Amino acid sequence: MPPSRTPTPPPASAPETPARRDFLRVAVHGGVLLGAAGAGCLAALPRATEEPPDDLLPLAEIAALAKLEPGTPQRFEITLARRDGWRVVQRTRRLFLLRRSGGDTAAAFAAFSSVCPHAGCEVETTGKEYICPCHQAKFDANGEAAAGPAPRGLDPLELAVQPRDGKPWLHVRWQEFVTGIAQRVPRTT
Amino acid sequence: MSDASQSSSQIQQELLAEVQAELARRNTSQVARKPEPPPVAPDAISPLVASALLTCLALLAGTGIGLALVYAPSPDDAAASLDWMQRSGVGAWVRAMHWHGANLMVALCGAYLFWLVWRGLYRRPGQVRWWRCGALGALALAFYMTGQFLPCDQNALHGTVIRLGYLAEAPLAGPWLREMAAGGSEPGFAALARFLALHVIVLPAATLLLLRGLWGDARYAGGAGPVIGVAATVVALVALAALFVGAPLGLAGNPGEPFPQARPEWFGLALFLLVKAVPGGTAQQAVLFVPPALALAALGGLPFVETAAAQPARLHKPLRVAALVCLVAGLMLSLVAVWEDHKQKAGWFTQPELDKLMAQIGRRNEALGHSTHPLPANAHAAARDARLLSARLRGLYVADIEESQKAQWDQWATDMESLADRIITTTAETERRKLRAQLRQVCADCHKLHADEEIALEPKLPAPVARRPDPPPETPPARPLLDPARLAGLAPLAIEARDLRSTRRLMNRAKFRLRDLMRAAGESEGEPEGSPEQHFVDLREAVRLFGAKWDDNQGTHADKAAWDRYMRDLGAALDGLRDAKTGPDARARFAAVGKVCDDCHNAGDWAEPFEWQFSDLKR
Repeated sequence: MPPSRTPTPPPASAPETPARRDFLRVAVHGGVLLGAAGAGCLAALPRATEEPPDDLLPLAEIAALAKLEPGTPQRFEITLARRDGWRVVQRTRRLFLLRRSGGDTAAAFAAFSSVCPHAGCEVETTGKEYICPCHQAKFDANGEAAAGPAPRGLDPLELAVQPRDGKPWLHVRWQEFVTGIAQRVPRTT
Repeated sequence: MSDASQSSSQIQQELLAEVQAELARRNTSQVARKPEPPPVAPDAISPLVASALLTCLALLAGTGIGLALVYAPSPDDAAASLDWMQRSGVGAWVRAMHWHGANLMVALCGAYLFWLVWRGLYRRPGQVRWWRCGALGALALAFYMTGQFLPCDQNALHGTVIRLGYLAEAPLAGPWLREMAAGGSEPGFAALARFLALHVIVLPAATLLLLRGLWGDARYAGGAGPVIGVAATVVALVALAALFVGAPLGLAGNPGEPFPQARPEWFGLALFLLVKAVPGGTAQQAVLFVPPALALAALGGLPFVETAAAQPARLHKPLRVAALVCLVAGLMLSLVAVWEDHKQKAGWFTQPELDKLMAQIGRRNEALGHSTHPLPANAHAAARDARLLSARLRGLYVADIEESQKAQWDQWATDMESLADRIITTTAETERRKLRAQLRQVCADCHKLHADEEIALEPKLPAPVARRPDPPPETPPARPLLDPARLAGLAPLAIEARDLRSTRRLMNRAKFRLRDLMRAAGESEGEPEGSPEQHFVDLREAVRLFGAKWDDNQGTHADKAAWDRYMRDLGAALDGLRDAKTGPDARARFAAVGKVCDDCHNAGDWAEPFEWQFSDLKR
């Protein structure tokens, strides 16, 4: 008979089998590797660069705006250069110009971005008010939020009168703002 | 006891001793076997749904490969490339199957999750299946969201703009997530590259990790694999639906052009209504992010709340009620969203307006370029939009149209559609220009008849850009063209007898020598060869010889006095070359020679048998 030894009691939990140890090793190492690869991929993505503010762009000759009726917004289009990844693209954006009072100064006008401050859709005008076709947000002629879910009024754009070809022209500076919040935070990227 | 039985007993004893020794070596007293996982409670529905999900995944992979073979990953070309694919019936069918398959995938994941909650099958030992199903549902949504942007049409672009705006509102990492997804101020090239990578690489790779488990779910107890009948039914249903309802593809995406039809997919309608109903800001954030967070918590946590199927289910009933309430509420909210749009003629029910449609067509007309220019590189995209918009003109008449004019209106719309389509398919530039002109003519005819107006059909040409004049080329210092010392004793080269007999041959000889001389002076293209002095002497000799051949001038000059005058002038002009200096001086003297040549050739009494001009010698 071989020498017998007193059998030890079984451990409380099942012992770690080689298969389980292998799985855990693969899982931990694989997880770390995958995580590192994912972080590397994210870090390698080129970040959107912070763009300088747009230039003042010519909108219309002041003399031509004489026929703009006070309180009735008029739609304008401007073409902007925008960085999109590795290239600069031309984008057409819309804005609404409103005559607030008589006179030929920039203060006599107001310009509003056509981007809805709620979710970024393109707002349209009926001539008396602005309506967003996406979530039915409504704004009065002065751009103030009147109904619907918009957290703030339409975003105003900077206006200035500058000479162009020897004549005074109304110029506008395009700006985009963070949507969905009550504060008006300029978007810089 | 026999010897045999004694021997057997001994063997048993020895074997037992060996086993005990081995157990002792392993420091245990019993053989530990790997415990078998308790069997998942069998149910009749899960294998069917899992089989359908597997079939959907296979369909999506197959049709996705088909789409990837044609798809051009560029915001400018994505919609046009898919449109090109859809020109063949099979292409349209494949894309429609991909679209229907994706919708079915989302629906099946939702239904499967609901079923697992209803039957309490999220409990152990079915917790892995529950998590797997939840992960598959999340992947299906991610697939849908990323794939929805890929066509880059108006719906894709505006939908993605809105979703990225929502993403930016996410607590903590919202702006960073938006930036990572969009790669710029608005979705474009960078966003498309990222969405495509997610859609065709990252998400499929993640789905592969779930496939083995899903294959197991799809087996009935003892069955070998997915239920073939279910798989066949799913394929048949998707293929049939794709035959009758195609995948939508609209105008090329343009963030500056309003898109009132922007609405979420069917499974997002409830959320859309809630977002519309609550004020923007914190309430909207709550609507956007609390339900998904709750769903995630339920997905991960339920198997820990109710640990085992064997224990009495404490939350089973409340969970059933909650799932049912969510389902019914979701359905009701979706129906209300559609009903409100229907009532307000908004979203999918937006009525086309003629003025806006005309403005849109006008923009595409401009994008086709000025008639004096070749069609621009992106003419195919503008023409495709014009085709889609022209089709919408049919039946959308101006207010005061007479009944008899409606057929003509519809015909014009059809003509425009056809012309725009032919601009896409025609290769010959001349033909494409003609089609562009015809397209504009239809517009002009229609405006003339219905609005009594002459419309400006040509887009404005961009103002010419002031260009700095090129700096004057550096000219080498002037030098004498001919060396008088070398010229003095030089005799003309011998001329073959047959050349001596022909005025034309002599004239050709003179022309070639004149050209050689001009090359030596840098006034004619080509490398100078030989001696300029020799060329001059030969030229002079050739002119002398054909000058004497008035009788053989082929009758171009009937008047001998005129002929002699031209010959005299030519001789004087050639003598002027003796003192020529390279540069402007030589140029003027050669011009004087050329003027006599041209005058003589142009002043003939009969037409010349061939066209020749002095300027030909400059090449």
